[in-house]
Amino acid sequence: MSAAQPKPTSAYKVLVVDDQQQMRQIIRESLYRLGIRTVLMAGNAAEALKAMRGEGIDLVLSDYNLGEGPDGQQLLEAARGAKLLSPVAPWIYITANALRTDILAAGDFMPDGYIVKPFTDQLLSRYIEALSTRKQTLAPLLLAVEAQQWDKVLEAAEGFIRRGDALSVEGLKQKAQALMRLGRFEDARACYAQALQLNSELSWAQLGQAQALRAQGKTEQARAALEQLTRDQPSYASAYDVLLEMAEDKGDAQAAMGIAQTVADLVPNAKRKLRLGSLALGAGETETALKALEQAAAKNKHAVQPTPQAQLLLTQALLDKGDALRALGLAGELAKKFADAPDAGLLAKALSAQAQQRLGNAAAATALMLEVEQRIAKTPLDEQHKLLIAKSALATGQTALGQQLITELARNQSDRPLLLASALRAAEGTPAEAECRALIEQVGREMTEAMNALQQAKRSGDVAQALELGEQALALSPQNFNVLIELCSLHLIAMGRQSADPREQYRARAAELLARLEHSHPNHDRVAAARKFYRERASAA
Amino acid sequence: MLDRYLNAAVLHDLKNRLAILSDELTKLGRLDLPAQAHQHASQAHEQAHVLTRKLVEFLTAQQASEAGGLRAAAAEEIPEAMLQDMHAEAQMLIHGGLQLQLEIGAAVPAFWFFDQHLVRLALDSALYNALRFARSRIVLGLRVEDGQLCFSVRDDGPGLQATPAHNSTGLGRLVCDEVAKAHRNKGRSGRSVLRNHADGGAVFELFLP
Repeated sequence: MSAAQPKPTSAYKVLVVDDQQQMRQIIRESLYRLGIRTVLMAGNAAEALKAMRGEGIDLVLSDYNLGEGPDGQQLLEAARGAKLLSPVAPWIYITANALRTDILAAGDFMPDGYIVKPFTDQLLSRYIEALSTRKQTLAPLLLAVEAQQWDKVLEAAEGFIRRGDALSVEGLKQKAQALMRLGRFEDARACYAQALQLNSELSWAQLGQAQALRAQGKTEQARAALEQLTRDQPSYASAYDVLLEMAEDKGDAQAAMGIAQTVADLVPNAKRKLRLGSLALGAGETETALKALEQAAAKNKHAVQPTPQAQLLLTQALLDKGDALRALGLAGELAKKFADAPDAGLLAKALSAQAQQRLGNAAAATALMLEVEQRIAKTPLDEQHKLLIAKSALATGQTALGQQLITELARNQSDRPLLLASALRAAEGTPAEAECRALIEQVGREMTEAMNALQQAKRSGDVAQALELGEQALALSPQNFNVLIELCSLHLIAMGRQSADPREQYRARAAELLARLEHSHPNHDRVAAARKFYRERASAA
Repeated sequence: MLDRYLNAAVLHDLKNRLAILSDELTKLGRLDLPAQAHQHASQAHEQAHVLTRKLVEFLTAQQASEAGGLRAAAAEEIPEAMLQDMHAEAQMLIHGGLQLQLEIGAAVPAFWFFDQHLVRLALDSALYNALRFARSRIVLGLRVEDGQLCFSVRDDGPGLQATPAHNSTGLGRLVCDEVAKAHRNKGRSGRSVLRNHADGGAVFELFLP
């Protein structure tokens, strides 16, 4: 469906998703009576996704509760996330009871509306008409958002804001979000303030203002605003999510655990349970980790696209608790279930090695770790996975591999205090504990000295020296976020000061660093700010 | 109190069964049956709706009594369109010589921030109440007063003093109060009022900041 050719609703292709056959039938009959003849039916998420892949669906009417398997929200997130549905196609829940929209807002995608059962034909008709008209009118804005064309979003949003009707609020919301993505944080704050002037209780605008403050480095003001928001709206999960990130940045493990527990109780989905379990595992809170990860793994079984993460961490939690036999079984299951994922296979081997070691089979453990060592260079791994392998290596006497991974972690994640604390904990009780502690402290000192020297050179105006120091720091810590950001900014500063030839070299290097940052941290505020700086410098050149 | 997940599961089942019951009664109403049978089917259908509404009212009151209370998910809505929807849907509830009228004030804004589901619940409750007492006319009103949006439901019945209290559980009034209080803006909370009208009858008013 496109904005230029709006269809009458009677020509719509509608997908009805309900686990109860009788309810599907009732909804279809209701749609027939409203003149909608093309109705596809799905009894579960898998059938619904299949229908969305094959057909140009104009409207989805889905039950929130879909029995066994993924629920309506998981289905919505999978469908919208994979762009199986036009952003203009409305998604309406047909639910048994009023939904807590503050909880739904915790997801990446929201439904366009919901109808409470039982409903009349007239109500259904008015809902479909109203939402379809709204979304078709908003189409230029929604399509630009989906394409992430932020300048176009700003242009379209201004048009809606000028209308002064109900759609102007959507215009303000999308404009503020686009400004955030463009790194224009002060303008975004002003836009959120404009929305709050209309209604002081708009939670999305309060959250947005706090996020803009945080992006501007006004951390304490942002924290105060978020804490006020959680007091005013205790079930607004998104506010806790940002507070949790801030506690992690600060390295406050206790606060992070408390917030993660609150939000996991509020929205008990796999993502929130996994976050809590992961934090608890890193902090050595084995019982909390086990409970949360058991729940995350159980929920993940019903996910539209199951991932190995919950089971991997659960296996480590079982090992920490001393249940090596169950851990071994789980690692075996993992390897089979995710046979196509090389990282999952490698991690399952490392965890099996830890389990074998604990069961007294040192030879089997060593053999498994040797396999891991041979394959590790060819397998892309994130930092948490490297930590799991480091722990397995240290537990099985593969000290060199363990220390190498911990050094890499300390270099690349010097700005993540909780991860560094987890790295220290991974070495606890092993013969290499003291050496690992010394390594982490030494690397920490080196990174601090390197960044201080870089800042010193920058302050004294010696950009060439700062660039040299930055490139040296990057060679040692190629994935360090702070180093990448600093170096990218330095190249952009240098670009403004040099003659034509080197300017192009600085621009190219800045673009390369920015691409790496956008790949590793696509939604980070500082990356948005770097992108804005790059655009300004490139257009000035 | 039951576990909230069990609560949700039982509720889901109950609402589904009520939806099926309503659907069956609609089908019954379309069959070639004696007029009296149609009348019974229609009354049963109406009772199924009342039961659903009562269930939702009860759950809303329960939510209001929990820690944190009832919170409005305020979004930009078109109040006039909502009242017109309500007017159109209420036509099927009107019987006898009863008239249902709309009175939209001149200065009503194009949009206002409120929780449409909660506001409809409160107004439906007021409307059902008015239907019990109105003699010839019910007026659904919308205006702005003291910077607040005011929805109203007025009947031309005997007024409050003459209304028998024993026929009411008070649930509807409680829900209306909670819905009003759940709406806030710039330090002001909403309020609901049930009073006698100067020209006779009772009027319910829901003020939203």
